[in-house]
Amino acid sequence: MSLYGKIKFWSFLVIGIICIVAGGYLYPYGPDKRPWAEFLLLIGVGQLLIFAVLFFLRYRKRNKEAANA
Amino acid sequence: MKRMYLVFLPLVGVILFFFFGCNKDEEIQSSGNESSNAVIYEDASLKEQVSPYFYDNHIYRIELLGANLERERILRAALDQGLEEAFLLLEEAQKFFFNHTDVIMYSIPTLDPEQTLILYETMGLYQVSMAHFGPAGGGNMSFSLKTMDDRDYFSLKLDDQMRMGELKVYENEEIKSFNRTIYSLTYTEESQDVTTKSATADCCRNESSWSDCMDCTVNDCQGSWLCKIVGIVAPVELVAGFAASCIGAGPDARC
Repeated sequence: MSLYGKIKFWSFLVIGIICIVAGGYLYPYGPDKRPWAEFLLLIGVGQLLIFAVLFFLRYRKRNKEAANA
Repeated sequence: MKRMYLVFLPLVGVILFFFFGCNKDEEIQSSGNESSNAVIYEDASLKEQVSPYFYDNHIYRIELLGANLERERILRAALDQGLEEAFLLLEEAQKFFFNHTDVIMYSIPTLDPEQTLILYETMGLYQVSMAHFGPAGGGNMSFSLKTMDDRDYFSLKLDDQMRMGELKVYENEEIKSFNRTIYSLTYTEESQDVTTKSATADCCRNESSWSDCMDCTVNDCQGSWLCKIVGIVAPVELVAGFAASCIGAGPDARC
């Protein structure tokens, strides 16, 4: 995987965590902040799901390559 | 002879009057010298800049108590709780001023190096507690605050780099009742708002304490499908966010 690819791959995890922590932080601040909190949580979950899928695909590919070799 | 007495008696009277008068002056002078507290730390800039985070430094002044009425008062408050005067190292008593509260804290070391008497004072009311500080194994130190009936109300552990962990807040009726009294004396009008606020639970940061804020947030979260999903995908991060935002929670907290 290229350097750019690696950065993009791990950024899904990092951004996902940051968005979830920020969303969790905003959540107790009342109803006017709630839409922003939920928006951040939604982005965070999305990023983490993309990361999980890519992670799964990456290691499945690696395992296949190892089995073929 | 009578004349002699008549001359000497007023003289003796005048001498005695001056003698005791001088003694009184000396007493007042000496008590004036002893009464002053000595400032051992002061950072005036902290008085203006109040950090919103509880773990930042809020102490802007520390005084070493002199032998004065103030020291007598805190001694009396301590003795009322069944402590012995000989157990307390009164000469080392210190007074702490905070920039985020009007509560004054006094600390009095004791003969036991692992125990320090802590008194919180506000509006003439005292809360007497005993701080226990000692080794907890693994190079850690444990710190706990107990009311005088030996019931915990706060404890934490410090590692060798003085990082805090295992923070525990206990249900303690004495502390709760002290807080309620002070709160009702300070914010009588606002406390009426608080009941309506907590009834509607608009903002969890307005709950009475950090643990209540966390309870409120978690309950709120259970009512939201998205929050539940996030809790499944990344529970640690979510709770870390909740915990951070609940720091500083209280009836008058910003929302």
